[in-house]
Amino acid sequence: MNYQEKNNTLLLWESKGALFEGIPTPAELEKTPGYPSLQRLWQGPCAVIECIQEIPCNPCEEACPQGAIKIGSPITNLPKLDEKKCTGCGICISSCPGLAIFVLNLNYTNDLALISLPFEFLPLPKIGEEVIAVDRKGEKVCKGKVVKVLNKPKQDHTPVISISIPKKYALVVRGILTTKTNFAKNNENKMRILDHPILGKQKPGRVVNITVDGKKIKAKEGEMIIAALLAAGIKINRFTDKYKQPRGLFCGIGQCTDCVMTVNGVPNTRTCITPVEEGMVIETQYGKGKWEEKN
Amino acid sequence: MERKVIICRCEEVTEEEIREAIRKFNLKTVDEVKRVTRAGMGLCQGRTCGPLIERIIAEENKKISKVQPFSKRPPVRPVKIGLLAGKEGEIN
Amino acid sequence: MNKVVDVVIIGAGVIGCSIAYNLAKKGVKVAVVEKKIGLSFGASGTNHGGCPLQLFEPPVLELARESIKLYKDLSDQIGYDVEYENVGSLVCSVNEKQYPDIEKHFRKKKEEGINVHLIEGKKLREMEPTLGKDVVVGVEEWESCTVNPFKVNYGFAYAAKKLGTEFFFSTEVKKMEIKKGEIVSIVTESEKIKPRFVVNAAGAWSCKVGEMAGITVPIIPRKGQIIVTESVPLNKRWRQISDADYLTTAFNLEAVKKSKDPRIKLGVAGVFVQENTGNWTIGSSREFAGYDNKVTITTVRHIAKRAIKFIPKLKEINCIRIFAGLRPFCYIDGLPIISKVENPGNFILATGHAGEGITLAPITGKLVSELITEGKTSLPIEPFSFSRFKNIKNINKTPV
Repeated sequence: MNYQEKNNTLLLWESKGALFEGIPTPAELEKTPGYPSLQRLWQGPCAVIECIQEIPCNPCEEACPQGAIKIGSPITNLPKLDEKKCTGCGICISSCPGLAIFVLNLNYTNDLALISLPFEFLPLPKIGEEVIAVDRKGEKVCKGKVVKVLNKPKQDHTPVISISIPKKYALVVRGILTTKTNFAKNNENKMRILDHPILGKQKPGRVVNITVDGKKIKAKEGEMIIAALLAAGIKINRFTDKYKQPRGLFCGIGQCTDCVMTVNGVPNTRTCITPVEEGMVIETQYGKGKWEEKN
Repeated sequence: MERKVIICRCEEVTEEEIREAIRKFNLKTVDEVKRVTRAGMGLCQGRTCGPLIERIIAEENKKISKVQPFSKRPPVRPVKIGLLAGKEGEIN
Repeated sequence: MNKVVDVVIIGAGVIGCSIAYNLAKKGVKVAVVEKKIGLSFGASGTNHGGCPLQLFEPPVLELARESIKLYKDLSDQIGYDVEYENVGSLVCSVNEKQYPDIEKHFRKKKEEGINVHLIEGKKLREMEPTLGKDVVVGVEEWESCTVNPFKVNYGFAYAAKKLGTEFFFSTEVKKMEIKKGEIVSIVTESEKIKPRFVVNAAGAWSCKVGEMAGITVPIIPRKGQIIVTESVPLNKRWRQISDADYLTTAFNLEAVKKSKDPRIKLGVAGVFVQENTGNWTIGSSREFAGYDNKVTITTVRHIAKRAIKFIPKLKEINCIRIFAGLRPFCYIDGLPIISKVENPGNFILATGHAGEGITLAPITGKLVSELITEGKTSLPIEPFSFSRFKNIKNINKTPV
């Protein structure tokens, strides 16, 4: 499907509708009070609020410095966008907990449109990076280039990425995939999170050497045994007594005893709450484990 | 082999065994299920399977509105007997 | 609802259910009334499951011997596996000074006809490496067994039910109607049952049931605490091991009272029974704290300390649960009460088994069923008669 305006074709998309697929059809979106008219979009940067479900939520109303977003009473009303007041500043993008607000600039260049969208994944892409632009279903549409990355404290951990895409996809593209999973250095197994979105940057930590079933593994000082195992790709901790089934991490809080292994000769050691120590000898536990005679 | 649903992960007691025991002996509490099937006697002492067994009892015994949960006993975490015993002359 | 039955048994523990089964086998119509919502909530559910023959003294010894023999093919008889295992028993000492006492115990058991062997410390440890270097001497015998106490309780109950016994759970006896020296009805909140005989098998609550019948049953609850460990490989030779001090804490109450040792005062003496699943149940303790069945840390620490003296490797093993149970103890002489009473004439007591209930369950069931249906028993029960309390002044005064 397509829409002709100003000698430019803006592609539309197909969907079974909000009720059946969770993705509104173009017709449904046109009726949404937060969705601007195409005429306004061609005039310059404008917010596009794809909020289609009546829930009690109004941070967007509070966020807009121009007062262009109105919800009023009751708070379950869908937000209404005042096209004339909207300047396309994009402050509202970070305010929406449903990540439903975007800013479209159809006149970025002759061939390209600029879309600003909320992006909460790590690592954040860098300016100039090429990314894959995806549609509302998460399916690949085209390639995009990162123009701006905004992650100010006021945005409360919801960064806003602006990407340039071929104009015709401006109504279809609503997300990005970064092409490189770029873990920080000193993470040879690439499994450890070194910059946690809530806990912040993790200290690199000293290397601790442990042995697992005879294999030497490098672990980080202070982490639990199970973390070192998972980082090394070891997912099975033991085999059960009766049915000989494999078990691994389950509750992770020292409660379920699924993760127990024989550590330094002591069976039934909960690996999820036991920190690694230099020279630790860890063995997969079979059934009830082998108990050394210590007298 | 038919896939079994394990309810008590520590002692590997299946859902079928538990339901059979509940029907055979008309069990109404989790403690009783534990005594007959061994579910809840393992290392985690019913912390994982307890709520599941409560639900199964409620399903089997549609008359009970509230199922008595597992009787809780110390210790809250396994503790070595040597630690309980303490050092020489420590306890009066 | 009104019911008419032959026998009402108050209490569905191992004793009550064993009696129900033995009566039902003879075609007697039985109703078992149980206060709790199910089985094994009393002493029947808070024990080791051990039947150590050499820890019995006459006159109970004769009953214990017969009972253990009955356990051998009980599983086949009732059609439910009670996990009978002939594990024998070992009584040993960590105190050189107790040597003469152990030798005395050995000779006494030999005289009583038990096939016992006296074994020196070094040889003991060769046969059973888990025993510590402090163990100096031990006495073993091989008639004893262990069973799964829950399976015994459920087994007897289910077998009795199949033979027509009715069970009433969450049903507390509120009062008994007595006319002309006979109990004519048992009244609960929801039932009124007219029995020909009433059996008091209410364990630690027997005294309260006795009150309703108008008699003083000298039973008080005695608290025993047990530590349960994680599963470890089974011991080579002995899985039922007792501390020689048990002979004092169990049978010499005067010495316990006089003792200055805080451990003896709490009645703590090692009893270690390893279940067939590998878990150790470590006891024992004897305290009188009314109906409080909470675990107390001081007692538990004494139990743990005593345990590692006998089996040092327990030091590194985790305790996963600690529980306490209330055992029915006859404070007059510590013996069970298996007997009719004079008034009411159809009231029978089967209680006071203290720490010996699991062992004595099969034989008590048999004897009480004989008492009711034939009026005489296959083994002498005079030592357990209620009439022995006739001349006791101040029967209400508990000496502990």
